[in-house]
Amino acid sequence: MAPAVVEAALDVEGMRKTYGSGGKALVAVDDVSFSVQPGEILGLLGPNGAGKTTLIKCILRLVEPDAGAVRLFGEDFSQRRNEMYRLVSAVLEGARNTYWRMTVRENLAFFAGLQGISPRRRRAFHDELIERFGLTEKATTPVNELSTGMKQKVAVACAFARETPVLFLDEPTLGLDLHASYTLRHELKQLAADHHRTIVLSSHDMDVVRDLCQRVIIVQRGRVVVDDQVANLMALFRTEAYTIRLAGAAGDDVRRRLEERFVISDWQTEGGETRFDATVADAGQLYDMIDVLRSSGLALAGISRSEPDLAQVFLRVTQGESAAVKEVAR
Amino acid sequence: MKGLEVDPRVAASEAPGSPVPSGLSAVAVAMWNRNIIMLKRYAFNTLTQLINVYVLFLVVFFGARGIAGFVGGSPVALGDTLDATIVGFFLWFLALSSHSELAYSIMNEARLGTLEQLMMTPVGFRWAAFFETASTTVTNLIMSGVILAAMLLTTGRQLTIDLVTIVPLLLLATATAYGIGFAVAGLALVYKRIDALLLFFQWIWLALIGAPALLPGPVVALLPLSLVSRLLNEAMTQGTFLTDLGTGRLLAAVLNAAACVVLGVVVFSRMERKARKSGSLAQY
Repeated sequence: MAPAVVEAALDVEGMRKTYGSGGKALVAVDDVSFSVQPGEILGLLGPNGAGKTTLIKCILRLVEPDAGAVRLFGEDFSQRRNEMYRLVSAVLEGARNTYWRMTVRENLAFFAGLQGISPRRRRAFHDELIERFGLTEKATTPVNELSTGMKQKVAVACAFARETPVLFLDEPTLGLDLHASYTLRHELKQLAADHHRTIVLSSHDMDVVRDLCQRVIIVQRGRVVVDDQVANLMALFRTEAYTIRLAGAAGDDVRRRLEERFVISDWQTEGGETRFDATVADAGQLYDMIDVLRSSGLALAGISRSEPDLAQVFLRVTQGESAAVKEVAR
Repeated sequence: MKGLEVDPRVAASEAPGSPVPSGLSAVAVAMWNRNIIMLKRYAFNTLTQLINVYVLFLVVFFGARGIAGFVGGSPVALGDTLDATIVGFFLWFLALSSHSELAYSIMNEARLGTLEQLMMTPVGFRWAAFFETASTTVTNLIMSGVILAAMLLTTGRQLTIDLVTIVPLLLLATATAYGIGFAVAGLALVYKRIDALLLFFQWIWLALIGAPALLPGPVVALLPLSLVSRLLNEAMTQGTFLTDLGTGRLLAAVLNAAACVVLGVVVFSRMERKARKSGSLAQY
């Protein structure tokens, strides 16, 4: 035992899951490893069908993985599924997660009880959860009668009522309108900080991830393709992405010459002017590109650093440009 | 106003990883409360279920009386058969509600996506399921009592209701129904479209309850519920006391019920494992 070392709250190693076998085998989770520090909110980003939900369920052992270890605060729970549930809870995507015929408060009491915690000793805490999620007036209303946003808040509140140090939230803002999504995010951030919870949050909504997470993992076809600080990813693209306007219509030959050497996108020729976005490895490459344009006899009408958002990063990474990203990162 | 209770944040913000005490009693209370709340919210369903069985009984009762009148017999001659029919319906309702409630609720929770939440309990799903069945047993016994009272009032018959004798027999019947219920629910986790089978089960229970009248003793002892049906009939129509039912037969009934429970647990566990492998624990 080395008490000086801070143990990761969650440590996933070599997680693998294949459905079916032979020619029809589908690799849903392909050798995924990552860890989450205590108090961290980790974003799990990926297109639909990338394997986020299966990955989460494999970690929770709701789906039995083919291989892989899960450690929580340094302890391996591979052979002790039930004991692991003292430390983790989850809101799963597409599931109801709560009992719609029961009221908000009844649900909180039930899930605390299911966790082995007497709800009578947690009235104040449940009051706090109800209040923070803005459900005070609906505390005695059956979940059935609440809006989608409120239902989702109840599900998240019930996960908190289990009082586990680690929470998995699979697409918690899916299907919510902007306002509901915003208030849920806000409360989530506050609660996680106040109660020192570690959260793994999956989403395909960049805003949600950028708003809540310090670090993000991008999953594609069951694999982790990016594992980095959100700020790093943003900065990376901010310095290397440019929008270029040319005074005159550039031909296909020019385009081909550019595409051979640089990452070009959004090529448009309109009203005798051509504009496109370019991603370059460094400033030197930008000059190289301008040289190509000069040798083609095209005049620059404008050049500006484009503001990429996480969505762009995400799209580029997942649309097979991960090679380009890696090169840029070097 | 916050209460004087221990501030939960202290517990929640303890050193990460410190185990939350997982009290079995809290799980038991949670399951019991949920059962009561659901009964109240689904009061209409509960009532419909009661009325269904009662109406079916009325059809059989008046139908039989009509036939007896038609062939020239007197309604009084039907007495013994009628008593047996009342006991049969009473047992049928109990078996049916225990069995179908369990199988339906597991299937339903898998479909809606609450089953996975139930699975994630630190005490283990088995304890949660045990408390769930224990609490529904209590409510099912009460409802069966209501049905019994209604049938006795309608027919004007009197039966021996000696609780010392019939409660143990009813618990054996319930255990049998839950055992089979778990097996069916397990199969439902893997082979999804099983609703039809569940409907069919009501006739299987009816046949098993009626079997003692048609089949020889040793066969009856091997069938689920049949022996309990015979013993309950004797206890209620002839007033036989528990200890006079015969040690051998009682032992056989206990072993039979235990076998059903073991079968249910084994089948359910295997199917649950299979469902976890194929990722079909949830069907939403």
